[in-house]
Parts: sequence; structure tokens; C-alpha cells
Amino acid sequence: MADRTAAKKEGGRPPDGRPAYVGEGWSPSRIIPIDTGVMEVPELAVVGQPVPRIDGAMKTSGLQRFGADYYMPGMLYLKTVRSPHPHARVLKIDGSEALNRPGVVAVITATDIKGMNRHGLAGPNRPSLIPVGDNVRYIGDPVALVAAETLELAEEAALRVEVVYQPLPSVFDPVEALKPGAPILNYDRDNNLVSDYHMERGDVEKALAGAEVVIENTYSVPTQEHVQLEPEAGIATIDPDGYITVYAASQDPIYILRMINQCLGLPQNKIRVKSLASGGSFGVKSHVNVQVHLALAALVTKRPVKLVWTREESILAHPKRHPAVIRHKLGATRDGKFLAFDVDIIADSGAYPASSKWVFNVLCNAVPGPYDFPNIRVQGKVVATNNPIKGTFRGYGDPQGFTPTEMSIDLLAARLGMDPTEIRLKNGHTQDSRPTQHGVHIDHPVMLEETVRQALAIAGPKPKPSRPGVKVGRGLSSVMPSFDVAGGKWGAMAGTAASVEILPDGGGVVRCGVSEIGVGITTVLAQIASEELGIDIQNIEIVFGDSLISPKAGPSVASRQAYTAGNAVRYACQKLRARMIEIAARDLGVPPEEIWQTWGKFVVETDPSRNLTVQEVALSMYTTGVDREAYHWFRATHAEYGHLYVTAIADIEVDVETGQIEVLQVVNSHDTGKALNPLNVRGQLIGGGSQALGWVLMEDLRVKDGRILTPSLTEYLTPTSMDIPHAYKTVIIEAPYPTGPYGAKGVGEHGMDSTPGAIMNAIFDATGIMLTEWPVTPEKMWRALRERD
Amino acid sequence: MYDPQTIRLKINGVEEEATVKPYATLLDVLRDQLGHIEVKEGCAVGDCGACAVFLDSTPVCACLVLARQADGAEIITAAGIGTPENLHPLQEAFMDYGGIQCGFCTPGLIISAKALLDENPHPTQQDVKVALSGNYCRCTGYEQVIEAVLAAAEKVDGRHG
Repeated sequence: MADRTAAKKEGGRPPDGRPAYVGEGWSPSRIIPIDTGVMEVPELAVVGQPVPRIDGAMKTSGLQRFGADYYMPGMLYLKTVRSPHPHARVLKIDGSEALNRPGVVAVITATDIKGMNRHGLAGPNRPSLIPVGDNVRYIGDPVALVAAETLELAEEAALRVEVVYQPLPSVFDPVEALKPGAPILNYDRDNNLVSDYHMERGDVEKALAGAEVVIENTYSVPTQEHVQLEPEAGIATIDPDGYITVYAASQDPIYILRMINQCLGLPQNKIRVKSLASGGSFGVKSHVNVQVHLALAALVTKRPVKLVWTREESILAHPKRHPAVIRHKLGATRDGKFLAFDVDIIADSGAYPASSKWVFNVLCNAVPGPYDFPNIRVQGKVVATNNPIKGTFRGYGDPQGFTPTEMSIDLLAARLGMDPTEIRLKNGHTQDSRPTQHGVHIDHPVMLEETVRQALAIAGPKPKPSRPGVKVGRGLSSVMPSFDVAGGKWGAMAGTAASVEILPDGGGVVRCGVSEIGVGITTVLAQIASEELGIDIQNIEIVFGDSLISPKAGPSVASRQAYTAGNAVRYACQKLRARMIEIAARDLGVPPEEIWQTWGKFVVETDPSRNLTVQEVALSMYTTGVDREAYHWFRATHAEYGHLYVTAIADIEVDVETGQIEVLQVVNSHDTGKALNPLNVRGQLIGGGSQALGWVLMEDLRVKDGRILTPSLTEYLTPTSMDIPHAYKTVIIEAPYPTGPYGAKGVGEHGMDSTPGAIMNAIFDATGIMLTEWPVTPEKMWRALRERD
Repeated sequence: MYDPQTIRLKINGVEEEATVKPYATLLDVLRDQLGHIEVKEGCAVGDCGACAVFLDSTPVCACLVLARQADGAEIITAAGIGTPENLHPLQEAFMDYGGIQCGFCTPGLIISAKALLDENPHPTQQDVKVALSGNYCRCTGYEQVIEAVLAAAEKVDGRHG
């Protein structure tokens, strides 16, 4: 189809209704295409362009509706009654006083639930409401719902629901939780072990004994709260025949559908889940939040219901990043060749396993990063405690696994007097490497060195101190994140479908069950459909996240949908295009081989004056009874995960008097494959980098005896516009991924993976202090400087 | 004094009326009673800035203003700055520069940015950072938002100058 592209070029860029795709002066980032010989990336007109968001006009005007923005006539408001105890037996729940208050319609408890009353990404392990006789396991565990005519009445009545608890001994330290006699949280076992991990290659003990230098260090890696701007919210409606529709943001409508079915025992054909546009997510909305409660309350009250968590409830109740204590022994030769890495990890799952088993696997898998260790042993445990629940957060364990490794490497480099870049390249993956990471093999050219080279090139020289009393440092960090291509063993991710329809007027509809959590996947899918069908992007509608009418796409997690849904949409479009060419050929009276597709037209190759527009072909399909819709089920078989490399550089300035750290520059050099939308790619890298900056320098979720001491945004600080780096540079290295759509790899999570190590190493470079705990607040930095001097 | 009271607001140029309780915030009334869902609630205590609106030309967090204090005031929301059919250059720049990801904080950012440009048509990067510092954005890391505001400033200035 080379002709098609040529014709498109001839006519210039397809009209997109806006003066320019790109604002004047856009992007200080660099895009570096690299031909690695693995595939030919076709010339493209719409894909690869920095196309503005298709939902941008709705979002800049605020008119985009999120969960809390829906209202229904006769709607009831819900309020959740939550446990004030970290661990207690529920002896009694009495809603009678609450129910007697004016406007209160129902007090709903576990006795109203007819199904299993359990949900969870890694098995049915979280009750949606704690029944009498069972235990609450964290502060915030839900025990009842109040439904009332107004939110105010629901909130007042919720305070009047009498719950009698018998407090139980609690455990907050995962090490303590593993000891005999510790209070037991798990349902199905007689201990608190959620999952363990063991990976061993070579003889670590022997290699460490023979190593010329050994770095030993223990890192205390903190948790992190998502602070997605939209607190969890939604509504549910119920038809007189019992059909329930739930409208709430999630990352996988089919998962939510299954959990409502599992918890409540409703048949799946009686439930519709609409995964609304999400006001941020970063993993948090891959868990059930309000949806099961909404369906339950609609079922009980037979009325539309609305449930909106306050910010404080959101922070209290949703699963957060797993904190972990990670012990390293890193052995090397005197010239910096890694010999052995012995790593021991203990992580806190919080009150329920949620997704801990999978996240912990990824965390442990991340430990070796992009390096070869001839001898390696990684072992660890993730353990239940009465702390807030831990779950999925951008990176999915990767930041916790990668960051300490990057720090130990800089300690080693310093000990040996080596350049941190040199030691990385000396031990980095080559084409012959066999990574230990599950499901990853080197199946396309290794771009590690290229990411390092480009990062250094764009970073420029290390800055000089801007004034007396400050010390400047530069840190570098290289990581090898993976992105899902085939879902591994996890059923939800195995296979992605899309359907594409050409409407009788030549417009297009793409149906695909992705969730738009803010990353711009709907824009990318529209670009692909526009490219393949040769129609303008504003004539394409994307139907996403609807369990009833958008085909199964699996969860929008693991940086996967650009690859998986991108492929599904692209192949569905190609099927439809083939059919359109046949119809154009039929109507023009030539064989299909003679039809040549230009932008918006099907042309007879030998006589371009004979042609049909897309509209004419679409209408002809409609009037002559030809299927205008094509469906494609995409499931990769070549690997479970794709992998790629990212190198980050951070320049920082430490004020030695106050401990204040100023981030001068962050660079992310990313092996993205074809950037389907470089504006989006850059946004993901910078956004992830900003969350990393927050995690490392600011975000301090304090928890004592299971109680969050930083319960709102007033106490839990995330970066503002004043806290970001003075400069943020991104390099997009386009080394194509052979099976990716147009060569694309995943990109969504990786700024969060690469940046923390760079900042920590920059602090080390500036001060000589390798802090083993973060966030490095000014106070922590100040104390460390005082202790040193 | 605890009885509901009727207040009048001029919202995006349209006179509207609401009967409000004494403790109702401007945010509650705009969203729940008058349907202005373009004003988002991210925290309800003035931390996040998602509910920013102009109250008689001053940008405020609607969650920090009692509805009764706003009686008789003129309110401009993000949808009053521009709608999808008629976007303001700021809103276009947010699109062109990638200043939008999830879009939940965006209407608040638009208000703060508009307030800045009204007062200072030639802002520096530092001016923009200061002006947006009351608005949390968790997706973008602000960089592309700042670029968008600077670009819009040139565009607005070019158009009028």
C-alpha cells in the first residue's frame, strides 16, 4: 500500500479541522528514528503526529463528565460506614436509628448480599461489606451503606449506624506479622504470607565470597498515594426488570462486571458497566472501588444511586503502592564487572492481598534491571498487615525494584572510583543476554546504550552551583521496564478485540473496551483508524469502556493498550478496508487489484479520473447490503511481555544549610518504538517523572498503628508547579518493536520507573550521602548532612 | 438565619437563582443545584484548585466560598471562558501543547491561567508557575501546561496587539 501513502503525501496532511497539529515551538524533546532492520515502518500521515486529544475541547471547557457529574431523577445518595479499628470482630450492626431519620431509605449490610461478597484482582479476597461475625482488617474497611434522599441526610445517618466491634490484636510490621503468634489476617491460610518469590541463577554465595568488592545496603522503600485528581465516584441505575447499569471510571469494565457478578450473584447479562472517562488513575482504578456498592444499593433500593468518595475516603480506602524493605549484597570485580547480586525483600501488602501477588512478582523481577548478573538470587515475601491496603500503582512494583539497584550501582561505582555510566554499560544487556525477568526475552535490538548516549547528549554539562552554600549533583539511572503484549497467564489481559464500522456517510465508529484514564488512548485509536481508513480524525467516534457494546480489551494497565488495542483496531480497519476496496472495485467495474486508495478516495490506478469517495463506497455498502463492520481479536503469541530501556538523568542542587533540594533538570531518554503520538509520549514521560519526583522528595504517607496521619491533601503533599524541575527534557528513540502497531512499544508507566534512581543518585553525587529511605524531605536531608559533618 | 435563602448569581452571563442553606458552598450550589459540572470537586477544602471559578473577576476556589457570600456576584467558569464550539486561545493551546491528560484539573487550570493573562499579558515561565501553583495536576507534571500558557499569551497578545 505504498501508493496510498504517497498519494496522501501528495495531497498534504489530511485536514484535521485545526490550523496545525503542533503549536509553534512545541517540544524541546528529540525524536530519533532508528532503523534496526527488524521492520519497515510505513510512511504515515496521522499516526506519529502530535495530534491533540480528541476529547480536548470537552476537557478544557470542563464539560467532560466524570463519575460525580452524573445526576438522575429520583437518585439516592450513598454514604459508606467504615471501620475505625485496624482489626476488630464485627459483633453487631444496627441500622434502626439511622433508618428512622427522615429521608433515609435503606441501611445496607452484608446480609443484603446474595453472592460471594468477595472481590480482588488476585482472587476473591476482599469482602465488599464486612458481615457480622467477620473481622474488619484496616481502618476504613466498609461495613454498611446508607442510602438517603440527599447527601447530607446520608452523611448524618451514617453516623447513627451502630456497629459494635470487639477490637483484636493488630500487626503493622510485615516481619512481626510472619512470626508465630501474630494476629492472622488471611482468610484462607493460617499465616499472613500473601506470596513469596524465589529466583536463583548460578552460585551466589560462592561468587560473593570470591568478589573483590561487595556493596551491602538496606533500603526502606516507601509507599505512595495516587492522588488521582478525581476521587472515586459513580452512579448506578436499575430497570424495573432488574437490569443494572453502573457508570463509574475503572481500568477494565469486564473485570468490574465480573466482580459485581461474583460479589452479588447477579447474572452477567443483567449488568452493564460503563467505564467513564477517568480523572486520573495511575493503577488505582484497576481495583473495585464504588461499583459493587452502587450495584448493591440499586438492587436493594430499586432506585438510581450515586456514590462519591470524599478525598479523605479516597486516601483512606484505595490500595496504594507497596512499601518494601530491600537488602542488597552486590559483588563485583575491581574493574566493575558484576559477579553476584543477592537480594532479600519483604513487602507490606496491607490488610488484603488485592493484587499483591502479581505486584510483588513484578517488584522482584525488576531487581536486576537492564544488567547481566552471572550469579543472582532474589527472594522475598509480601505479607498481610493491618495497614492500609496496597495494590497497583504506575510501575506495578518496578520503581521499588529498580531504584535500590540503581543506587547500589552508584555506591559500587564510587567505591571503585568508576564513572557511573561506564559501570552501567559494562554490565548492561547485550543482544546475547538472557534476562531473568519473567516472560521477557531479548527479541529485538537492545537500545540500552542508545538511551544512555542520548540522555547524556541532551542533558549537556553538569551545571555549576548557582550560589555559595549549595552543592550540585548529577545522577543517572537506567531501567528495563516491560509492557504487556499477551497477558501472560492472567486471563483478563489475554486477548484484545476491537470492531470498526464505516457509517453510511463515511464516518467511522471504533468500538474497543479500553478505558480512557487520561493517557490519550482514545486519541491514539482514532489516529490509527484515521490512518487506515483514510478519513478525518474528527469523523471518527470512539466507543470505549462499555461492557455491553465495546468488545473486550482487557484492563488498561501494564502500558499495554497502545500495543494490544492499537493492533486490534489496526487489523480490524485493514479488514474493513479490504472489503471497501472490493466494493469500490465492484462499483467501478474493475478487479480489486486495480484499486488504489488515496486519502478519502478509492481510485482506479490506470485511470484516476474514475474514483469513488469513501462516502460513496460506504453508502453503496449500506444500500447493497454489505457488512460495514469488521472485528478483530488480537492476541500475541511470540512473548508474554515486551521490554524496553529508559535512561534518566537528574541534576539537583542541595542547600547545605536548609536541606532543601531544587531539581534543576530531569531527562528521560526512552526506547519507545514508534511514538504513535509524540505529544502523548512526552506527556507520559514527564507525568511519570513528576510522580517520581514527588515519591522521592515530597510524598510522605505517614501511617502509625494502621492510621494514616496524613489523611488529606493538606498533609500529603504532591508536586505543584513550583516543585517541578527547571527543565524537563525527553528523548523519544524510535527503534521499532516488530509486532507493535507501526513498531510501537508501551510507554505509560516508565517515567515513574526511571526517574527515582536518577534523583537519589544525584543527591549522592552532590552530598556523598546515599540515603536509604525516602522521601528526602528538607528535614531528612538536613539531618543527614548534620550527622555526616 | 438558618433558613434557606434565595441568592442570585450571574453565571457565564446568565442570571440564575438558587435557594441555598446557610452552610452550602458555592461549589455545592454550582454543581448540585445549577448543573455547572464544569466546576470539579477534587478535595472540597481548597487544596487542589479543581473548582476554581472567577467570582467578580477574582479567581477563587468555589469550595471555600459560602454560596450566600456570592449573592449578587458574577461567576465565570471554564465553560464561560470557552466552549467546544468556541474555544479560547488558552484552551486551544492546552490541546496543542499536550496540557491536558485526564482533564479533571484542567478547568481549574484554565481559570488560573486566564486570571494570570488578564493581569499580566507577558508572563515569564516563573510567573506562570506561580500563577498555577494553587492547582494540583497529577498527570502532566505541569511542563506542557506551562508551555501552553506561554504560547497562549503570545497568541492572545498577537491578536490584540
